[in-house]
Amino acid sequence: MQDLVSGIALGSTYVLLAIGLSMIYGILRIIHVAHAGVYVIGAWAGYLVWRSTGSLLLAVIAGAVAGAVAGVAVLQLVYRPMLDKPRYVPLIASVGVFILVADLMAKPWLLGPNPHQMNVKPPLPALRVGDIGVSGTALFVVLTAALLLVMLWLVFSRTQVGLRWQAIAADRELAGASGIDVNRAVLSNFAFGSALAGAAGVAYAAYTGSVFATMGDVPSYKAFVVVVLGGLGNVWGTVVAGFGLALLETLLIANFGYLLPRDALAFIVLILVLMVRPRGLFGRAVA
Amino acid sequence: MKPTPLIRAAAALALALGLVGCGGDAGSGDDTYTIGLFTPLTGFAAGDGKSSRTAAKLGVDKLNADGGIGGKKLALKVYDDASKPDQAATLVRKMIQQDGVDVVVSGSYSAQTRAAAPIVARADKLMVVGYAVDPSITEAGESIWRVGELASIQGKVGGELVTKNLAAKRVAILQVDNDFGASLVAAFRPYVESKGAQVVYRTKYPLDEKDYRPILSAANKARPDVIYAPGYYNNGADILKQAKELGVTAQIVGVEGYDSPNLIELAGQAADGVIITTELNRDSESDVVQSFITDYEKASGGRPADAVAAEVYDAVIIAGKALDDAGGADTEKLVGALENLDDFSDTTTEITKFDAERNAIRPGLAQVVKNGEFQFYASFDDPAVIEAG
Repeated sequence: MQDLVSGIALGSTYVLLAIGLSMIYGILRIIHVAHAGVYVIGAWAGYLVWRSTGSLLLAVIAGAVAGAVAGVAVLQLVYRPMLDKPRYVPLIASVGVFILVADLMAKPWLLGPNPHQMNVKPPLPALRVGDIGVSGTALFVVLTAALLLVMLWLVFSRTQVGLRWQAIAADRELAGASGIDVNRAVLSNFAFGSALAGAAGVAYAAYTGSVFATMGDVPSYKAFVVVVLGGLGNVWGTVVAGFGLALLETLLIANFGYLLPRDALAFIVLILVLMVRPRGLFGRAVA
Repeated sequence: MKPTPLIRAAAALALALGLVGCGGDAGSGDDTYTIGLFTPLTGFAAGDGKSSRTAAKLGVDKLNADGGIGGKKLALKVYDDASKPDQAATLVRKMIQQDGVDVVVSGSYSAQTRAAAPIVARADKLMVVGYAVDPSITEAGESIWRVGELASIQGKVGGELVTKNLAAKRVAILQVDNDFGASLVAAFRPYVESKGAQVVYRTKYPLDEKDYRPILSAANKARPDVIYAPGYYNNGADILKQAKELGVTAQIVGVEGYDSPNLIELAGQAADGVIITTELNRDSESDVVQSFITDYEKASGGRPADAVAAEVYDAVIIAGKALDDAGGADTEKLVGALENLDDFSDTTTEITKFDAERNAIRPGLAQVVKNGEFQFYASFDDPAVIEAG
């Protein structure tokens, strides 16, 4: 049971990161590796705000804002000129941006080579039922993720913006021909998705208690596994896949130890799922 | 503006002069001995690299201030191994073949030092190893000596601490999955079992793990009295914080990898109460130790000394003593000097002697974190514990 709770908290950070990636893939069809760079930038901004204010809530907001700004910057400065090129062109650029961010962050005037503690004062009281405990910070992370997911669902299902995103994801040219301002919709989609990545960075940093320059390395590929598992571009499939993977990791390690590296597990699951369901768990058939 | 031929020629000349300058700078002149230190200034272990560099400089300055080595000055060249074994191997080759260093000092981890040791031994140079614990390092050759505490000894010290001082009957082991963790547990586990304690849970975690909750909750289910968790300060800090969060009540015992101000910085209040086996006794009454602690803090801009710093400092002091006693940099004489060395009064980690396998012997030491500071907890004198075998 304790492991279930831990898995859900960890899963919340996976989902927040992966869902932004899924949204961006859905609308632009770009393998956006730099999303993990946005995540690190969000964590860094959140860390700075937490250090000066002591508030985790403000830190998450700062992380989301920094994430949105960084994401939009990548879109406008890097991807925009490449949108008509073959898909591997923005992919290569994306990998470059990610490496650049990680290396810059390791400079002493940003995060530097050493990890920094981010032992936040839990913003909520810890819960303890019998043997099962959940810290206030973990609770906060889960609730933040839940709140953001509800927000996202509302935007998707109840607003014009969400409708435009869905239209573009279904068929970008047709959407453009129907009078949708594709550029603006892509921009808002990118900003929202990147804000989620920034918030995810802060949430993960608070959950593990530290921030460091290379914290995006593992998420840079793990988020993809989650997205592909959930069915490329299927946002709600991503939610299920993110929680599922975190729970699986946690339960396997708790019961069997590290039979294989934690991060290899993601790929093994991916391979197994793709062998049975090439479209991912919840992917729609491509016409 | 395109560079004119004149500017190009001037640039080429400047470059050439610069290169010649570098060449002349390297290696030992007639009036200087050079120590080559390899240590991780970048990569995951960069914090320990900085401690090592500061401590080595302090050691060299101390030896020079005391009159140098037989009338000659001692110089230090620092090399960044980037926390990578292949890099360490390349660097020691460069030190010996190109830069002509007289003595190599390791301020690096077991994996890096293990890669360097055979190369240094084959080139017939003396290497004094700071804090790398893997037993096989000194097996590379007669010219490889170690200041740090052998893992096979520190594991036994940990076992004595756990079974005697803490009177534990049930022990869980969470070990970092590398040379460091494996070599410590290889000594710890048989020792505690021989003292009647039971290992109720054991797992290895990867070096870069951030989420220890699953293994902590699994360990906790086995109801241990003590959790022995060899690893480094970043592992230790996360383990301590997450154990507290999960309500784990077992005493957590760490190792010298925890011995860093970073542990306390990262773990905050959760660090209080952790007991570790280590080499630097901060409460020592020795003037040498106390002035090292003061000088180090000054040299590092306020960062307190740690075990890594003390061991690298001692490695430099011992290298200096060997050069002094041997009256030159001839490796055979240096080894002879170390074999006869019996005065360790100016070292900071209470070395009493070198054993036949060229490893330093000292009383075992445990420290506890109280109110955000490392303090004395216990020491161990039993030769069965603190000597190899």
